[in-house]
Amino acid sequence: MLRVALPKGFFLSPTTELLERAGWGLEGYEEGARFYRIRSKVYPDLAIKMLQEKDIPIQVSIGNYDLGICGLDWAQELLSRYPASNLVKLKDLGYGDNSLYAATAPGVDLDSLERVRAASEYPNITQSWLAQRRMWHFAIYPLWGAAAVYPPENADVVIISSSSAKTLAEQGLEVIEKLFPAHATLVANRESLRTKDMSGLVASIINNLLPDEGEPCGEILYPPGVKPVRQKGVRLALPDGHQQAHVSRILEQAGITIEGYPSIGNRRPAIGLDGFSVKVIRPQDMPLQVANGQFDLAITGRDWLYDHLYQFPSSGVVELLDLKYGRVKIVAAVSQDVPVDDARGLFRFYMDALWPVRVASEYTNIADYYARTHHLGNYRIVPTWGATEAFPPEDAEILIENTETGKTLLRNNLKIVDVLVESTACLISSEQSLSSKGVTIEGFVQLLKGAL
Amino acid sequence: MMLEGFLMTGLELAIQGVGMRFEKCQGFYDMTPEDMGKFRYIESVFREQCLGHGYQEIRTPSLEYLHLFTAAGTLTPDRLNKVYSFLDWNGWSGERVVLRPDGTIPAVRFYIEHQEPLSRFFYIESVFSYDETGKKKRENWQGGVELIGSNSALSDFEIVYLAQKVLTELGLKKAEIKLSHAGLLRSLLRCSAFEEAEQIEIFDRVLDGDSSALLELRSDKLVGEVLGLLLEASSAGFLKNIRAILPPNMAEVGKELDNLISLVGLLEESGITFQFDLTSARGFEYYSGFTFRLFWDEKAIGGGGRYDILIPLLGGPPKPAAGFALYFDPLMEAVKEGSAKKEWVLLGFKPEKLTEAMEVMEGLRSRGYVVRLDISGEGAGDFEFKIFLSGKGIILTDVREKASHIFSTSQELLDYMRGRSCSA
Repeated sequence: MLRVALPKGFFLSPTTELLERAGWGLEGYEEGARFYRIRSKVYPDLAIKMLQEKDIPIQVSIGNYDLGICGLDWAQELLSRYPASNLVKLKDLGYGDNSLYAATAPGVDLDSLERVRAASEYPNITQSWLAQRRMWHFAIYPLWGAAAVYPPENADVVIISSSSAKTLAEQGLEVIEKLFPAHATLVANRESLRTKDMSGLVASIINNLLPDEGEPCGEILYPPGVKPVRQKGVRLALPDGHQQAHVSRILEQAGITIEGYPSIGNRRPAIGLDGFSVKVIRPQDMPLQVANGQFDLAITGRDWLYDHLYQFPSSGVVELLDLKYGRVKIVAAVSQDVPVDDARGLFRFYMDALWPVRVASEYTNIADYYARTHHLGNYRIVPTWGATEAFPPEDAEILIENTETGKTLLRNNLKIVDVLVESTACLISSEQSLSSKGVTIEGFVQLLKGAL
Repeated sequence: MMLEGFLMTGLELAIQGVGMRFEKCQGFYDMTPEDMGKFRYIESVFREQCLGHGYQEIRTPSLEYLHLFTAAGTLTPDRLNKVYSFLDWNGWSGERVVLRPDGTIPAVRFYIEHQEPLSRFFYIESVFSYDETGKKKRENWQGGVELIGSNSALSDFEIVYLAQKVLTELGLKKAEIKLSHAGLLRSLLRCSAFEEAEQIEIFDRVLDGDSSALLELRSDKLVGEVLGLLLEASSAGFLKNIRAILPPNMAEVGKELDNLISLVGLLEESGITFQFDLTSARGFEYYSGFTFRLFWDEKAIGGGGRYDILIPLLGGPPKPAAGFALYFDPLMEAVKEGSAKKEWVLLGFKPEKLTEAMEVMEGLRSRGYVVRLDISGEGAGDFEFKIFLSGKGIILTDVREKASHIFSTSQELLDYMRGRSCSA
């Protein structure tokens, strides 16, 4: 039986078209599908799953899948750090307009900086790139997203995926190097290539590729240069995504006006509070950014704060206020078929396992802490970027996941065996910011408190 | 922030035992008692020679900041991609740390912190480097030596001499020495028609062991002829003759060549045998003058050279420096014996003879024997002697001679054993 991992998101629709031309007859491979398992009418033996694109190189390299389709950027992110991994790039599929760029705020000369701050969703590629460029002293901030908004205040250079240098210019970034086009790529597991006959499947894909359309090009126009000034006052990070409605409601009730939030495009809304500046970034990235002094205040989930503190217990990030929305539980869950009911049973069941027990989670540090302190023994943390409920039983034994009602878990034939922690949204700061801007920060906390 | 309810059955589960086999990390190896005997032997010879030449021992941490190694001219990008790097517990700043990938660079960091006019120091430590194949060792032990503050020909000579002396003392007198000169190579490249980027690439290729890189340079119209002669050169005399035919526009090459000729002259005079092989330069971008490599049975067992650019590059004063490292792992295969073998004694006794047994034990140990107490009536084993303190006297069995002796006091036994150990 061959196992294939197909991407959600960006590459979904062109991949659907490709596999339709290839005559796979797929059922259930569509955006918003409620299930992750996909059937092929033509190849009934295929085990196909839809995963986050970013998860696919890891899943293929650890042998959970024989074949996968993902962007070259994510394959390269794995290979640049783990060149000896079992991931093999088989074929550039030619679609996908994005490329990976190194970009700065206009006019920034990296070589003149004493210490370069690099922010990216691709920390491994970033480290390689910085080493190739012989950058001496650098810090890398791994991100979940929104890299474009970091320069110039919060990063000097970003390694970022974008459709063109022009698009980046519109976001106020100047490309200093184009790394490579991040086309969709057919990847395979090295061991599977050696032991399994995948020639028919692979040929069906390769024979149905469209001729390469080539790079779109256009004249690049940079906006007037943004001066890299250090923001004064209190720097507040607000979350993007589904939290925005809650946050803007709380701000409104606190009597704080904010222009351009919630929003999709504008990541620098204007706030009606003297001495405050605002950026909109991913909540997952906030604890680290507060820890390293890039922001003084941020609204994120306690789950992400915990995940950060398990990795860096002395980072000095503190919770200032429980915002009491976005309540979720972080739970340990397993397939319904596993004969355990509680945590005790869970660890007894897996303690004698002769193979590594795979613990899949977005919260890698919470998951690692949980497994470690329970003496799970031979375990491996499988990092995921969402949709973790798709993993058991084939691709993970245990998952550590957040859930509001437990319905999604149930629908995916999973059961909760332990509740690790409850999480709500919270306002965080750092000891460093509190000691220098404590009075202003306290004023802000009081405003929000009044609104709750 | 604790996750309450987490801790419950851990210890309980651990006590029940887990039927799992644990393996070593790929690329990492245990050292057995036999290995350690050889390791300590090499280490003691190395230390003794270094201390005897006025070098002082230091030890730097296993963990260093990555940025110590990223400065241009230290580690090549290829080597930087093989460092063990990760985030420390305070890594929220994005700063990475590495398991020490090289000995010289931390030693130079140490020097810059504690600088004195002329420094000679050495260290014994392991360096870490990822090897993709999983077949080579990823942790390698080495003894390193650095001489900082002088760039005289005599300091070059001292470095080669000391390395060769350690090997001689280890019984590896016939180790091969291959001499090259990074400064000479660089100056030839600079005089060539190659672009600067190509020059660096060729230099790096030579350092990575790609001998075809020099062939390319041989076809260069400006320096090809001189290079061809240098590849033939074998003695100070030969090098002097090449020096004589250098065209005036290669003054830079001449300067480096003079430097090499001085060292070669000293080596010849002292009777140290070596080969001059321009292609033998390896390893680090930071080499600026002579370089040498040591071989035993065609395996590299050490290497070193002059690195005058490194200290200023790392923010220190413009001090010249040279050094070498001996690789303990291949040396352990090359040396015949470990530390001198001692004779082993198994000591048993009646319970009431404990005090006397202790006297005998310490007495024998001070006479150079290894004494193992017979704690469980084991009897068998690889011992030269067996001693038993009974109620009636002390019985000594000489296992090799297959003979037994009886003594009435422990002093008699110790006197006899002293005689034995002298005769042994």
